[in-house]
Amino acid sequence: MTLQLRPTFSESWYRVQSLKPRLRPSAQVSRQHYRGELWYVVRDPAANQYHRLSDAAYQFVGLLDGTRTVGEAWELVGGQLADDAPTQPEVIQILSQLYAANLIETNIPPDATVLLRRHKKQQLQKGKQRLMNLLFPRIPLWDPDNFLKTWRVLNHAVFSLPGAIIWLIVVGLAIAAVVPHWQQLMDQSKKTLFFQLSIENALLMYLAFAVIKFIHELGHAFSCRRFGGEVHEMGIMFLVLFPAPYVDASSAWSFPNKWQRILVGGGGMVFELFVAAICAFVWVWTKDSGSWLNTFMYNIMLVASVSTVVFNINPLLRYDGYYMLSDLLEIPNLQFRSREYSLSLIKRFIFRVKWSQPLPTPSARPWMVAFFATSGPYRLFVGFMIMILVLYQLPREVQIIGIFMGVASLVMFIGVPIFQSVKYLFTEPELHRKRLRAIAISLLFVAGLVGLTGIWGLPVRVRAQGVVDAGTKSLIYPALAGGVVSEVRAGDGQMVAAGDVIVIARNEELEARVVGLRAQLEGARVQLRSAIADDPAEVGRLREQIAAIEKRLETDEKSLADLTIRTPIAGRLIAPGLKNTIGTWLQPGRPIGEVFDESTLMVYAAVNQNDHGRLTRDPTSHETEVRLLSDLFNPITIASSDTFVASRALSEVRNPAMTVTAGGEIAPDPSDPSGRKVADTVFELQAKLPSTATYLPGQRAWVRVTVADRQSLLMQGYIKVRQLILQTQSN
Amino acid sequence: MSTIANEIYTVFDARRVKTPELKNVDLAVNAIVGLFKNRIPRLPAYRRRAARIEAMEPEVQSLSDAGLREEIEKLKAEAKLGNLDTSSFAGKTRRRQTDRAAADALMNRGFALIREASKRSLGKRPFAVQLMGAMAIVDGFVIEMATGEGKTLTAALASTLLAWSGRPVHVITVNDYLVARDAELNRPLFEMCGVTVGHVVHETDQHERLDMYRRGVVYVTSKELVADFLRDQIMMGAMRSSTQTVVGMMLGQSIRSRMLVPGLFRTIADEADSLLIDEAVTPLIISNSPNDEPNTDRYRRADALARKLVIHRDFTVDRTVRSVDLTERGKERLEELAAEEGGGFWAGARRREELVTQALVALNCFHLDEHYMITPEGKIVIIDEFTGRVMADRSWRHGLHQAIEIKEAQKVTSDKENLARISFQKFFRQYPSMAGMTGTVWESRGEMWQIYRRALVRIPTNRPCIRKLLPTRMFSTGDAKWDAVVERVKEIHKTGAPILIGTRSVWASEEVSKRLTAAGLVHRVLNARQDAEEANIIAEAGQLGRITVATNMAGRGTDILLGRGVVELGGLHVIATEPHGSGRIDRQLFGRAGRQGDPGCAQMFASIEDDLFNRNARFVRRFWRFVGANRLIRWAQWKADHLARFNRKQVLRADDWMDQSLPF
Repeated sequence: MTLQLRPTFSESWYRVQSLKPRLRPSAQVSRQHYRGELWYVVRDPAANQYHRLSDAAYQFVGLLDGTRTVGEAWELVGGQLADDAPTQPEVIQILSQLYAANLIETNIPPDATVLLRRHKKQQLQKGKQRLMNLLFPRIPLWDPDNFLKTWRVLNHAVFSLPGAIIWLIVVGLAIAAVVPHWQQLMDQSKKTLFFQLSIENALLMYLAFAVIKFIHELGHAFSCRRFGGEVHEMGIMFLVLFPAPYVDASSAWSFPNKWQRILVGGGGMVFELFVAAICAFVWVWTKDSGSWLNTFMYNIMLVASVSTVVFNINPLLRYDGYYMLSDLLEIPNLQFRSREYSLSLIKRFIFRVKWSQPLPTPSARPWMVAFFATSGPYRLFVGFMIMILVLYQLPREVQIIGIFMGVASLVMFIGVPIFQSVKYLFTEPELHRKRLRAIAISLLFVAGLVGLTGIWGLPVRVRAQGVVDAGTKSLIYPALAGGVVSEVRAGDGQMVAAGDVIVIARNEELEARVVGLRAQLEGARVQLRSAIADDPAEVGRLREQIAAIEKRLETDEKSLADLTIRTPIAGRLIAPGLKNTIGTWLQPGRPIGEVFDESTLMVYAAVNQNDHGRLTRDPTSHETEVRLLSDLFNPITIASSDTFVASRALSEVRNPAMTVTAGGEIAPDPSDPSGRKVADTVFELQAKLPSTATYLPGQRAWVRVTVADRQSLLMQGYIKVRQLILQTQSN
Repeated sequence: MSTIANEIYTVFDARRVKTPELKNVDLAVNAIVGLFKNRIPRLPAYRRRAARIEAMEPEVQSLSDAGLREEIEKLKAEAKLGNLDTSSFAGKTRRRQTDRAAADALMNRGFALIREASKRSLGKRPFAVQLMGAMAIVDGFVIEMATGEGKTLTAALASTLLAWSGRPVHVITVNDYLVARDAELNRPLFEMCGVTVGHVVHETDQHERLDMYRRGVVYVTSKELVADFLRDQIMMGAMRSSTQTVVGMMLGQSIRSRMLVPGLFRTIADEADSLLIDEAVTPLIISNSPNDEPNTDRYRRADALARKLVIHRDFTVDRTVRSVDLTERGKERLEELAAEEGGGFWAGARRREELVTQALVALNCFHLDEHYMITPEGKIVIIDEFTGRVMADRSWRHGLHQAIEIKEAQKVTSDKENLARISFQKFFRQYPSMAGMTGTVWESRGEMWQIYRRALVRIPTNRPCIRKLLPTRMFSTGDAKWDAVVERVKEIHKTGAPILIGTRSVWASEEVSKRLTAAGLVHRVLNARQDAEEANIIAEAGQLGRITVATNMAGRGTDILLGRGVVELGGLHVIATEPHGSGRIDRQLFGRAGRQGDPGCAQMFASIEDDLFNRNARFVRRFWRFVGANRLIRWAQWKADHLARFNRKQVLRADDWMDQSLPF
């Protein structure tokens, strides 16, 4: 498919025809190949400006030596290249671009007013940059060029075949060393990611990040220097207020060899992974010590691997991987051109608009479409995730920043494309005569989309966090009299039947008292018998005495019997350390353990009022899924008949673990010292756990209830957003 | 002021680049400002001032001729000091307002004197509305004044006052005839007011031009003025860069004495809408004809190849934008055909396809007597689409003209080479102060503001307009329309009332003429071919029983005076035979009837086969009965205008782009 958009002549030719321009003497030219085509990169080292010229364009520019006019050069190149020669409009384009990049000078000085305006425009842009700098500031700190030159020998050794072999061996060995301890690694990850990310650990984590990223940037710098590129700027930039090092290795863009460019792009990862590999050895070495060194090593490994996999090697975001892919595919400016080409495909085949720009080389086209189709949604997704993360993680005082960023990204990711599409549909002249069709198709598409997201019902899911607890449970208290444990009959975790003896204690004082009382009683009875015979007047008194003694004896005997502690209910005994209590004094009032009836184990979750409304609408056909922290990947399904929703709101949660302070999700009432009071009332959701497995009470669990009635995606999203807004408002 | 400083000023002034096109927020804000500026009621103030001027009449009337001249000289001295200049007033601060009041008072006095001079020299006593128009012009507005309200005199009043400042005022009219007529007509007034007047027409020679452009008031057509401006630019050559010019002047090379147009200061554009909007899309080009023989053979073979291609199969035609696209099949076929011809020049696909496409455009999109005509000498001349006028000196570029010459089997001329080029939009934006007059511009006020930053003032008519606008008649076929037109003409002709039939193209005027002749109706045809006599024919179109067929804008600027007894018959009847791409031009045609409170009648005849609908309402026109004739016309005109506006914007944008990207 050839494209005929190249008229030979231009109405404005007279403006450039008699100019005698030439490339600035300082400009450096290098050759690069893209998909078999030869291109030239012209670079002005002083201003670090680049411009890429096609072979034909370069042939033309090459003829401009300051003595030949543009017209003469055009005639010459036209004679040599015929159809491939740049046309007049193309020449004007080339000259204007070179002029804009400050790469040519001419015999006629440019119009002062235009120069002034250009200067103003640049100032304005600088102002905009400064504004952007407030959000993403870049602070250059160091010119590493001399440093890099000093380490030239080492640099050449690193980026060489032996260097590559050593790298492979070290990284391979590191992986081999870590794999046997995979489980431990995962455990540590869980601990770091899911549990308390304590302040110390967070600092350690950030330190690891800073170190590894500095090494990463050095990797770019060294690899760039290795192939002769100059590196003059290194410093700190702020990613979402988060300081990180950066390096300017853009001189690599003019490397003629694409593999060198790719290596510069990957240089960061090369260094980073090498250091991570060494850290892996240290981590394995110290893995049982639990020292901060171990944690630090672990952090470095984590940062290096996560950032490599999620960001750096991933070509869908504009990090190292993107530039490497762009060089690998030999499609410069991949993202922009993919977008342009893919959109032009839509325009051409759906809107039936003529091609409006030169098409890319055929072999590049599938790549472009594939890149556009994946990177767009992926970027949207990542942007959205970052937004959510920021919104949740920011302290409440600065949550306004999160909301601002959220709105900004909504506008950027959704608002701007919609605005541009509408503008295109209604004002673009290329749609002339095809506008109705294009609008109709677009409306159909939007209708389909709205139908899918706005009408097509999806299951509604309510998610809540809870804890495992038993419906029937009993604390086991020692006798009021207190005593020394003499025998322990049941162990921690053991199943016990109702009335089983758990602990036998002795209280010698009590025992002695009982013995004394018994003797007193015996004595009194003897006296009574003799009194009946001898002294009837004494009988009444003695009878009263005996009754009193019997009463005391009875109490003490009961207390004695209570020293044999039994469980009131059947179930599992939870009494850690009970075995070690023999010989110790049992403090009255302090439970020695608890018995849970496992057949009545439940998950108690707190749901907010909004979700409560959904849950109560048709409670019989819900489907509940519970995930326990210990076994996240095997959800337990619970029938709707085993799920109950409390109909009364509570201002307390069952377990303080459910509040945010303890890592839960519910906002606590900060004024309550017990930590169980919550800021907003909640409803309790109870789900009966099946008795087929053992669960530990107090465990944290996630409950997901799929509500019977379906709701469209749009509606669900709307409700979520409203909740979010209401929450932030009430906060 | 020293000469050199003046020269430097002039040079920089000539190279003034107006603010480039606004974008996004700036554009929106500017548009809103424009909305307000166009809505500010300015008439009451002008009306008050006009009353004040008229109140001075007894006093100035009592002056002797010498006394009048003396008074005028006094004001001239004030004007030279800039005390009459209101164009620099933003009218914002209090100080400015007092200055403004002082300037207004001086101006009122000035107009009273000029008015008296007009009475004495021309025998014309300007109406209040003309004074109001003149004041608005001095303030730099575009004024809308109904046709026949005396715009010529209004411009003369304003230009006299402006010329007192000592800087030339360019009064731009639509054709050479009007240039000469208006300059001569108003000469006594200018002379009495101490202002020199000159005019430049096509025939004016170089030497004379040097003098004319240095007169106080210069009547000139836009074409001549812009061409002279470009010639200056070419003459300056490498000196066109401001810095070099200054250096050159310091070395003692006087450029100004050789420059035809010594500077752009003030201008009054007559028919501002057509000048600044309709015609603005075509840039003016100065070109030379290279001496080398054109490659006739090349064009001939392209033409031959093009004729072998089949429409729809090998190529598609988009008549709206006059473009042809080769299909894949067409390209293959062309390759085969070229191979048969045997390589050479035709081996390269790009040049081959470009030339054949051009030949196809010539064959399919340009039609004899609609877009061009052939002179008796066998020259192809372009017909201006808006005016229906012959553009004698123009030619299509880059082979299209040659392709058409081949198509019509005429002698092939050589393609011209551009030496300099400027769009009218850009040219007129260079004036520090510009004003305009027109009969119809309200529809384009947005564009006037956006491009020229000129707000509009609508001057009321002196006497109320009693023109009758008869309901539009719509037909399903062109044939039915023409029949109905002839019927209607017969009907009116029986009463003896004069009829003016407006057509859109030369072809259409000949079609009407043919049918009128067949119906035995005596009539006169006025189209592009008879440019020279048009003013006379138009002037007589108001005589009893006269039937005149004219292309839309033929004879613009000339009044149609009603003959004896015509008023009793209902005045002039105007019949438009086809809606124009712009509603303004239809209104202008209708405006020929019912001038200055005369009776008159206007009616539109249209058919859905008309070009306007063919281009802009292909789909909707089928439902015209449902949509309604007027609504269909409005819809199609809105679309056409939209496209035209976009094109104009593109021209400006391209100009701006060039200025920004290659400011050499």
